[in-house]
Amino acid sequence: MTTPAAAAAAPPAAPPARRAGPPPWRSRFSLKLVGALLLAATLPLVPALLLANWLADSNAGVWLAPRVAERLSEVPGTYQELFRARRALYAELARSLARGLPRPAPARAASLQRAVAEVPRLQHVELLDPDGLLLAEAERPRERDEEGGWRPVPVSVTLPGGGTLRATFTIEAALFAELDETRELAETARDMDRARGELRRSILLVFAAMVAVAALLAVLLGHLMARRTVARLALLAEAHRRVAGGDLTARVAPGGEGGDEVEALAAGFNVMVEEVRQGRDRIIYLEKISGWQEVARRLAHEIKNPLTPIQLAFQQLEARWRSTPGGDERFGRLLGEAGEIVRQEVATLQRLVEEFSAFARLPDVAPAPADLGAFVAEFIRTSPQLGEQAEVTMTLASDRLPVALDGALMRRVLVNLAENAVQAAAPARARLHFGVARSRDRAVLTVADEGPGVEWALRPRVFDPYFTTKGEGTGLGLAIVKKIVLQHGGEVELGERPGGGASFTIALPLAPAAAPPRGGREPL
Amino acid sequence: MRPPAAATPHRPHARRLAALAAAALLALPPAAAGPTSAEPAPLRVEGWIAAGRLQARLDLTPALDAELERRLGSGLSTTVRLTVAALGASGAAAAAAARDFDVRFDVWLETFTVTIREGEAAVASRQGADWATVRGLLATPAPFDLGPRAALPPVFAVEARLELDPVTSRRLEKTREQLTHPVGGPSAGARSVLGTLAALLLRSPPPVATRSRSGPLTLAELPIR
Repeated sequence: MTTPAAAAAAPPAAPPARRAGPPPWRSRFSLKLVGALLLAATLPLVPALLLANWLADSNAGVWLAPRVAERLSEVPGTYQELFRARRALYAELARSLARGLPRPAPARAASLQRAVAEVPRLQHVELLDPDGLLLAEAERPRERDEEGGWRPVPVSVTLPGGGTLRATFTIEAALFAELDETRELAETARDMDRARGELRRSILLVFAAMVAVAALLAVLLGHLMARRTVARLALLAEAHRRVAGGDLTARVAPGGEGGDEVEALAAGFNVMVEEVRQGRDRIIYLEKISGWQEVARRLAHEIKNPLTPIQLAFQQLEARWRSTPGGDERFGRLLGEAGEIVRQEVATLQRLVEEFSAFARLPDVAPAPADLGAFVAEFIRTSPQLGEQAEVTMTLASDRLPVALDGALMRRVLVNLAENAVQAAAPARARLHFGVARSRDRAVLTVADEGPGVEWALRPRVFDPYFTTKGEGTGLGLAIVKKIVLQHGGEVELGERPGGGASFTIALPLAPAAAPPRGGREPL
Repeated sequence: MRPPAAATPHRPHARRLAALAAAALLALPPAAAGPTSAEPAPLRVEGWIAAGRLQARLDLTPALDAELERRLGSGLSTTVRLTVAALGASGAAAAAAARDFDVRFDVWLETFTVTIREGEAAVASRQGADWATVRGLLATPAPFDLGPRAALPPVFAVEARLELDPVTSRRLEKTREQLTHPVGGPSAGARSVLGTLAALLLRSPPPVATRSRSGPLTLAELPIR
């Protein structure tokens, strides 16, 4: 799990991969995505194409039905029959009128007048003698709304005694207009029927063009969608390849839109790699410390063994000199000075041996439930010598910080950090600031001073055993700190205190019951 | 016989898709087939050379059947296109001429109106004609000018193609208008997008013609008038 502390302590991660993997059009994922969109866009059109074909083929469209064209073409014939019937009717009416004509001439005129009044559709009638001279005629007065609405139908009947009866009937002009319209319709239907195959072909071509356009749009859309997604997945794959090759600095820029799955995957990948890197660093450090502990143990053993004979031999030499009277006074002074040097150096070596031994014999952590804030407060309260050497403050930002820690070892951590601060501030009086807070699922302890701080270039090495910037000291204090913290499952990092000074941050895992769920808000 | 297909790696998805596509294609009936070729009926032709050009008088009486009379007397405007060609030995046309007979039967007057066109121009017109007259115009049309004698092969045949209601450019245009404005016609203003696109792609259907062909004519033996 990434924490601010760990992130700062970690070696700088490589810049996130930006461009890797095959171009989208060569990616199988891209091809699959484009293919899926293509199918989704065109599959519904295939039934539509079949339906269009069926419509064209089964002549569901009125204009494409051959029976319609056939029946329409028969309509003029029907009108022809109607016209013939009308003509026959009018001829019979005229013959009937001729048969009923009275003999006297004056009566004939009156008869004709009656006829135009009584016989339907009879517009005009005239009676001619055998020489063609007009004997009588009658005209039906034309009504205003009849103007242009009728077409004349002349009928001529030869009278038995000679002479001719000419009658003019009328037929509705609307019939001819209807006939013309129907004929035009029938001709159009016939032409459409004639071009039926071509119509079907053109309609299918239009549908096929629509399918093609839809397919093209689907491919373009799929390509656009795939290009971004595939590029992001390719970055992830490239980072994965680098991690598999041992490069734990590889990171992926999520580059997501609205927190999609790829972005979550990239974020998860980064967290996972960071955890792996921290775990690897922890193992490497502990293995290194373990090796140094073995060296310290042997050194302590090898140094400690000759110290006592050296001290005893010199004590015997001094005793012999003191028991021999009349000796050289100058030699006596020289022997006294040498004895003092030997005792001091042996004492220094003994202290060194003790520190080496203590480092070599660091016990394993035996954690027990505790509250970090209470633990630090207790440490300050029970360390009066600390108050003598430094001004101490403590800031508690979170009420409950349950952790599992080994009290004795963690106390040693605090002692070492405090001594480090005191020594850094010497000869001035040190100012020590303890801070305790919660960060996500970590309890964070900060120990800061107002000393000169540590140069940036030296920071990566301050936790190495036997590395020290002070004239005195073994360089084991911070190494012990780091080992104990790591054994607690935590991390320690050296930073800079705002305003000057060094700041050590220790992050310990919270006890499970106290850790908030992922994504939960941190207490303020 | 086809050689056995080479073994190919199994691609079940690809094969299924290919099978589906093939089924979809098979489900589509073939587009309108062209006219079926049949043996042409015999044709009586009288040919002669006038002013250095081949003239041909045809007797199409056998080609004018009762169905033609029914069609021409239907009351609809009907076009009879008569195409005459001089075919060489290879069957290629060395010369050709065409004539349209626009025939309209007036169901009120019960007479025919015939307009004869060559190209777009009307060359003759007859109104109030009866069927016998129309039949005569069609059966023994005025001689066709089949071009200069020099352009003809020494031996050729004359073929007449009688096509009923060919989709002329004028009729094709009307059909396109009908497709573009399926409801109410162009005056209604409502335009169909699908119809417009289909109209753009609409072509003239292949002609359906009755063919008659003369026996071989020897150019050198033709009389000169």
